[in-house]
Amino acid sequence: MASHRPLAPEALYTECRLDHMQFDTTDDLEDSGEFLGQDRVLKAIDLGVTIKRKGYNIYALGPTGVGKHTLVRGFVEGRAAQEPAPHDWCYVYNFALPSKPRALQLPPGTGVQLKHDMEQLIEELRTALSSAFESEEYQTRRRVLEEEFQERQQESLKELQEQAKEKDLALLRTPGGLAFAPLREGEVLPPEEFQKLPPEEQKRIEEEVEGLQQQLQRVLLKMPRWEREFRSRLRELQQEVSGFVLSDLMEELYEKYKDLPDVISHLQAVQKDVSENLGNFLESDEAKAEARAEAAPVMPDGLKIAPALRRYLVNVLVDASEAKGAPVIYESNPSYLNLVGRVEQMAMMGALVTDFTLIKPGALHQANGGYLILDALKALTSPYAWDGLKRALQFGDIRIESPVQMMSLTSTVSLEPEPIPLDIKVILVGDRMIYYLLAQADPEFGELFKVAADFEDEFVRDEETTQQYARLIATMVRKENLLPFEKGAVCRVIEASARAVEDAERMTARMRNVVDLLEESDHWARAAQAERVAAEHVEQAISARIYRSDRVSRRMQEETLRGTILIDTEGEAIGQINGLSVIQMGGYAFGKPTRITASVRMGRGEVVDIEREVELSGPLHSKGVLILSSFVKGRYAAERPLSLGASLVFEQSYGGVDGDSASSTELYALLSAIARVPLNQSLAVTGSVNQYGRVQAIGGVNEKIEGFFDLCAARGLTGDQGVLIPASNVKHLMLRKDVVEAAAEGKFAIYAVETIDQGMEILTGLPAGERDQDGRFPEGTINRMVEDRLAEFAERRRQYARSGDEESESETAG
Amino acid sequence: MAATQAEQQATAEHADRILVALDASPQSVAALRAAAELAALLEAELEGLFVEDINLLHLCGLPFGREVGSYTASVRQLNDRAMERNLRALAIAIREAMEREAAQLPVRWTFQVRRGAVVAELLAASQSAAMLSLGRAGRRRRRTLGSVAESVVRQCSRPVLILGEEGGLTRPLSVLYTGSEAADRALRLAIDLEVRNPGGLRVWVWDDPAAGLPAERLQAHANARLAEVGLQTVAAVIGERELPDLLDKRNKGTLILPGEHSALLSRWVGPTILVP
Repeated sequence: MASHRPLAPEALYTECRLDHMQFDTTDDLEDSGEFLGQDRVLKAIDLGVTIKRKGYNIYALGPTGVGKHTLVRGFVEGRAAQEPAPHDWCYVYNFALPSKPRALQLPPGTGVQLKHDMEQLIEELRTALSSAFESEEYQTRRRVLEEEFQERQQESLKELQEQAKEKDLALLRTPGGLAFAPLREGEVLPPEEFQKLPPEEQKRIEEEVEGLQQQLQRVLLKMPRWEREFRSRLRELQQEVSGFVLSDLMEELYEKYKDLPDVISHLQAVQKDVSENLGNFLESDEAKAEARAEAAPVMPDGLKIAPALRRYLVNVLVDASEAKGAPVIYESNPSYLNLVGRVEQMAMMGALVTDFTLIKPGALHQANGGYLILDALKALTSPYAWDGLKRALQFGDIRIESPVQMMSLTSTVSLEPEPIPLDIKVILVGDRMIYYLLAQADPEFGELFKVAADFEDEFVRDEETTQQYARLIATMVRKENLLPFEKGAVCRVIEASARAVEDAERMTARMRNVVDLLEESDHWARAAQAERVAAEHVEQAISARIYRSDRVSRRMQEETLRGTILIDTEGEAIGQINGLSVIQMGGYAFGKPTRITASVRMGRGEVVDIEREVELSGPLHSKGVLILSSFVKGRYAAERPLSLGASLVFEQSYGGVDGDSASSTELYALLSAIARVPLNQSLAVTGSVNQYGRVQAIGGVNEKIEGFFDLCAARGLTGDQGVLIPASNVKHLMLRKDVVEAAAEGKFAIYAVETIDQGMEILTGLPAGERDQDGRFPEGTINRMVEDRLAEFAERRRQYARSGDEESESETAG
Repeated sequence: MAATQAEQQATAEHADRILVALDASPQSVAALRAAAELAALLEAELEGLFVEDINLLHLCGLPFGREVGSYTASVRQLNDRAMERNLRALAIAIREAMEREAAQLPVRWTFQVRRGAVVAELLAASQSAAMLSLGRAGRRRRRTLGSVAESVVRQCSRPVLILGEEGGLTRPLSVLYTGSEAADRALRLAIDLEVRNPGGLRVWVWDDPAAGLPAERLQAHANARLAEVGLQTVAAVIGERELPDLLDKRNKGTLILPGEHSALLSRWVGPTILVP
């Protein structure tokens, strides 16, 4: 039997020394290039940003805390700064179709100017028009018109009155109109007097009245026409007076915006509308003051302007006057309305009303011409937001539609603003699961988000990257305003980040966790009134973090020490072994020793996994057990039936088991039970096994070792105790300092094993043995004992089978 | 001082009844409201009068009694029984309106219906009243005075309160003082009203170069009158130039004019009291 030596302490923990870096504290280190080790992502984003075609939007995928947002933002902002500023976008009143406000695209900064110019125009029109209409000239001309009209009316009636008077008739006003009657001494001739008149006289009067009535009818019929005529002449007069004022004011604007045909056409529409609605500018001073006083306390400035004049305003949706380069917008709450914009409404006299000035931009408007960064999960979980986003990207424009309107059966009066063309790169940031789900379930996703930027979770840990990492740490220390970290502290942080990914040759890319550690270390340093963060402060932060979260593992250890959970850490036993499992609770994982036992008997070759029988075993565990039973069959019962019945069980396990990391352990217990060789209980084992008896790597190796170490240490280290791990896991070792120290002092041993044979030798102290020329295992080896016992079972079974046959034959004979 | 007391007594004697001419037009309702206010102020009784126009009734009796609709220009036969009913219904409506108005203030009131020539009946009834209140015009809206109002203003020997469609007796009171007897009465009335219910009083002394008395004397006289009753108001002198401003419709309030200035009624549409 080859002697098995435990791993040297150096193999248990790969220290970080930064020998090639000369620095005292992080203050001496320069900033790192920002995006360490994410070349793949940078290339992906670069591609997505550079290809200016539809659908080249980006999904940045990776676990939380790797700095997706920081990287995406940093990269895109750098790019955006070199790109041209976006356009201004405004909504203005659509005089032809008021329910569809017009969108105006303007050079940066022009929107606000136009808005200001229009407000000034309204104000100037108000004063200029009222003074024009108060002018002596207008008033006189108006009075002339009015009098002309009244005179015309009265003249025509007076004429009739004169005619009537000549004929001794009077024009009388009746409740419903006018009538003629014969007069005598200023009074209407009473009927009885009339009767007394000669018949010719009566007839004459009657005819005269008739004639006058007809004339009166003709006059009255003309009156409405005269009134219309009067109104139109009054309007002409008003237009003439206002036209002078208006064209003078508008001329300036036409000149100013002559290069913008859209603005010019809007201004022309404004001019036409103003001249047709002069009355709006001429409300009395009192009404104005009243309206303002009422509106003042609650309404925004724009609304204090009389409703009829609001249509001349400009609603600046996007103001790029201050923009330096293309916009980069991060929308932290990507609800439908926040993305696409909304048409707000306000309550007026109990009813909800709206107009184009109440159109509010969404993130898509703000980011138009640039970049929009969104959290994928938030965009997916806000109702309608995902659909709205996709629709905008698909059609290449932003349509403001209220979801209430889309959903509801009733349709209230609302606006349909003209869609604004969309030129944007959307960058979704989210975890991988969402990306793969979307790729699978949403056919449009692939078309719209063609570029995946997949973030690394970890970096290779070599001389060069470690140095970069140190600089990155220095950068973060400065960014977060922490005390400077000494070189030793930086090394310790790097080691911790290797431990975080369970690998001595890798470092975590989840910088958020690293920053947390830096901040906590800084806290302990400040608590100790140190001016610099030393390695011990980092150590303290790590221990404190473990202490904060290890309540459950402590409780379990206590119960083990009290003998409630049965785990031996010394002595020997047949068919019984210490397995190791890892329990993950939130961000904290710990190892827990578990007793695994095997019992054997004669049988038909079945290995019963009790966990599986009661459905407490996951598929991977079941697979492990099937593999180990196949190993037993392959090695010891290739030539004859395996007449073994065996049961395997995780003792005192109530919560289910999964993973195949205990399959080697179970195999050791099984072999021990078959061969009736006791196993050393001061050792614990982890590792999976394949059909040929090779031990394979498992996860959580550090926690498992530490879990067993803690128990042994609590009971007192005997010097015999240790853990068997797969040799392929050695590179993952980043063990706690106390474990490493105990190993260095020879109080605790870690064995790296490659095969089941090596493991059995360490656990039993017996050689495993190899087949000789005859194909037999040498006497006194474990394998021989296993094979002999199985042969014994097979023989006995054959005997049973035979006696069973005889019985059945005699039965037949009988 | 004694003279003033005597004059006040004289006013009080007349102030026992205020006559209001009613014809169910919006302007007559305004006249009713103003008259009711005035009656309450002067502690007078309000007397409503509705005159059934005898001319209309005669017209209905004539074989060719037809009216031409003032809006539709259609010709309709008039019928005396329908007209009677019509007038009765109007009288009832007017009485109800009066009851409502009078109850609000409250004032004592009576209402009567007479049949005859409208102007003559009004003038006759006004003989026994302190003041007559009536609308500017009949049913038709216009700037000029209606024919009835014009005749009444020309012939009435009592102060006439003339109301347009809007409002009642608004304040402040502006009185035009020319030094004539009518103007003295107008000034007294204005002062009386202001003393009873202070709401602002302006006195404008009419500077007429053709008149015998210089404006300064008239002004001194008016100021003396004001001072007698302890009013702070000071009379101001105005001429033809200032008149448009005085008559601007934005100046709210009631104008009190002496009879000789009744022509101003065509330039001022607000409530006016014309004192003969």
